[in-house]
Amino acid sequence: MNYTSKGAATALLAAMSIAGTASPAAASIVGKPAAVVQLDENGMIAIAGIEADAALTAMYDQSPAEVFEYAMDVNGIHCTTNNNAGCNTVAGCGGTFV
Amino acid sequence: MTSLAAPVLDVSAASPNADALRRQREWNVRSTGLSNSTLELILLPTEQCNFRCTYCYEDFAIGRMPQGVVDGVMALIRRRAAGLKHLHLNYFGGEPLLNMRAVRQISALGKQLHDQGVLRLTSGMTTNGFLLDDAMMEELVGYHCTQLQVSLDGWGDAHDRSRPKRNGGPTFDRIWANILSAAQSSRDFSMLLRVHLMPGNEEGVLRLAERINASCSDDRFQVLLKKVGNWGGRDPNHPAVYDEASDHFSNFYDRVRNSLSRVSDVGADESGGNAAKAAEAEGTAPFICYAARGNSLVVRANGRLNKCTVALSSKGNDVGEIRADGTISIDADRMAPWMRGLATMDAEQLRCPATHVLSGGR
Repeated sequence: MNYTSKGAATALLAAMSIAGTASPAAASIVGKPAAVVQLDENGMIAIAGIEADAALTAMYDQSPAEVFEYAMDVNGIHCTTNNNAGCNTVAGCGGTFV
Repeated sequence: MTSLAAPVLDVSAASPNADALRRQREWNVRSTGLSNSTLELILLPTEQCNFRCTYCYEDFAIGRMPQGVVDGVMALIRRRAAGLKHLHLNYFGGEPLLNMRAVRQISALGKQLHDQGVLRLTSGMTTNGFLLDDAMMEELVGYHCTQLQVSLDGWGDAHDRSRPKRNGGPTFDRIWANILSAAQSSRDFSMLLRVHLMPGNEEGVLRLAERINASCSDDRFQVLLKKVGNWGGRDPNHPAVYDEASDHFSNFYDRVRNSLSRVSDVGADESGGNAAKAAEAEGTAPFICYAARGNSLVVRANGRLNKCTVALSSKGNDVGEIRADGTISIDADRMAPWMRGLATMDAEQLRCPATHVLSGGR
């Protein structure tokens, strides 16, 4: 797993920025985001080769602790996931858990 | 808990705050869906069930999770533990309580890591409630498995018509006794009573609502009203389903909702629910289905990895496998479309990637 560097973070920002546009160049990235986001054999997420929490920090100037706090807020405390295809797992119910 | 919700911002197109809000939204979505600090495993300890609900979409082709897969799940948790701050174990099925051996092994590991301060464990289970007696509740709560969901189709016969045992026998009385037992205990849990609405069960649901108000009135209980849909079930007795847009459904929904003292707005309708819509309208918390997140995997009883718990038989949902040593293999081409919303920030792709992925919209 590669960890963040200034250069890599800049490349990542460019990649994600492109993915959010509607330009012809973006289409190939949007159409195949595996090129940007992938999981390794441990289920670790990397974004353009950068470990994901570090990449998020580089992209948004939020510390890993803040990333975790937010992720907990959404996933662990207030579960806001909701699968509208009719999923009936707890994770998919959209209920608020304390 | 730190609140990172964005302050109220002027989001008019000309405002510089519009860009700040966009960045906040992006960060919210991506930190939820991409963080390696959290891992959610939706585990199917068995894909067999002691019920035969007439609208069920599962085919029961796969049995119990063999020890090799259980070992693989535990090994994956051990491999990831040092870097994890939050582990969420979510048991689904089939009926997960039919394979408590697997639940016990995996949950005991999670609890051990929690007790050692390595990570925080939260856990939930979707169960039909038939085996959820007092002793089982005690054991599950001991494993931090405190987020429970039980489905009901109405009071008594209304429930038994569409949620019979595999041998056709009734199930309601025992489930209700288990719910009452949980309500009368002092245990710390949350139980979502998922009440299904379908043509023909109106009277039974209204009667059930009265009894829920009377017996499940504390804040550990919430009720989620869900319209039964047709998700591929092949039972010849599959009930008719409501047209969401019909006045009949709206009137029924409103009557039940107004009769309940504790009802969850989130997820109450097929478009996402009022509370979620409100959060979305604020611009800070768009819906993200677990299937759209990179840090959430469904582990089937046979060790195959899925993203969605509904489209279990769809090839596009089969994204990899877990090995006994805890490593996983992922088919990136199949995994990628599920996470597309994290790149595009498209609300529909985040809300329900299955509708996009499985329709071939890759």
